[in-house]
Amino acid sequence: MYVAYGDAARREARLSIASLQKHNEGLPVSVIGAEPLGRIPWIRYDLPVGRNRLAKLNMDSLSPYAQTLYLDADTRVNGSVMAGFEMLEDGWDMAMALSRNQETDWLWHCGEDDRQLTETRLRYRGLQYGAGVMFVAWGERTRALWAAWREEWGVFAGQDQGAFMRALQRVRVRLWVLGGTWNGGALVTHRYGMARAA
Amino acid sequence: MWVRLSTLKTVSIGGQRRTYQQGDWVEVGKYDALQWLANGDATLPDGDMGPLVGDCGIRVYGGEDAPKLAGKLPLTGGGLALPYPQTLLLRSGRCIRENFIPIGFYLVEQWEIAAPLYDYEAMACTRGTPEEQRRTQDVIRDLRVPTYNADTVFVRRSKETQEFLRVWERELVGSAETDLAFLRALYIVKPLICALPVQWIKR
Repeated sequence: MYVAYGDAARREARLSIASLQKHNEGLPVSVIGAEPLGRIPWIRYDLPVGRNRLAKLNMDSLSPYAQTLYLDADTRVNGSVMAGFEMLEDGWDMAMALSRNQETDWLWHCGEDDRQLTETRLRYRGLQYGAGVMFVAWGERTRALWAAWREEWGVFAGQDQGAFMRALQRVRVRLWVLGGTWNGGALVTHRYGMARAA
Repeated sequence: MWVRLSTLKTVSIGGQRRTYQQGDWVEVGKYDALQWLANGDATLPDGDMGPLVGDCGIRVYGGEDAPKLAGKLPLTGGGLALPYPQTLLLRSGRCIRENFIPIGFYLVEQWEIAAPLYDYEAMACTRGTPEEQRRTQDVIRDLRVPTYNADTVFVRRSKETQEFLRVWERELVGSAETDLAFLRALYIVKPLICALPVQWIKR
């Protein structure tokens, strides 16, 4: 699943999808957006400007796939990602990689209010996950997590990682932690911010 | 040396200057750390243990070298077992930052297991012998994942976690790498585990 709103995101999504399909032949792909993206199956979802993140946060109802790999538009896939689906098949609810930003860089990109609320709720600085690459098996737990994520994101309506950590504290799922190669590494490179570029 | 800032500081790390806020964790040289501690500009991670929740205790396994803790907590030694409703399984001779202990027990009120990661960069494919890596890959499918630090594991006693311990012990047979055996057991049983930051471990 991809989310693509605006020219930059649409351009990046095309390139990401091409890279995914090159190494993962036959893997079905859909894109959520306000307009179609070539021949790629399109899920129309109109959103106000600046609220594009809500598309990802509503993936539980928008994704047509029982097992979904969400990829940010500015990722590039350099190999097979099928192991992630096998993990879901084996019974994990989700698989996602750690963010590179831990400890001193913890939630550096979020607002101070967001950071503080997250640390207060968790009582410690929890692991930060990269929400740009996520394998999800939709079920009771993951749907409840997404609902909590939407609520938590709505508090500040900014970045989504602090909200994800707070949601995960409320709704626990069987989460298999992947290494950095899966998001921002050799397997899935991440051109952070390129989908937002003018 | 890790310290927690009590005030705003601009720190040069690896030639790059950056401003850190009050409450941030920073790894700095021992001299700077000691100076800041003396000035009250920072605190060490190991403060008071603080209030504990639930019925909890420590099980030291793999030897008899018990940790020296400022806080009082029931402690037993022996094999891998869950003698308390909430148990911190601590390998003999290993330490955890004491101020995190109450948080760990708080977490396993909600999760079944909570354990820190071993490292953010070192993946399972860099641990153990090639033979043990193959054994692990056969179970977990992909070795490009972080390992947990199995020396320090918080566990809530339940049917599922008892099963987890049984599988972990089975996976330890013929295994030289406790962390890979732990990873295999996790993958097989799939308890609700909360992964914790590397920084929880005292190195």
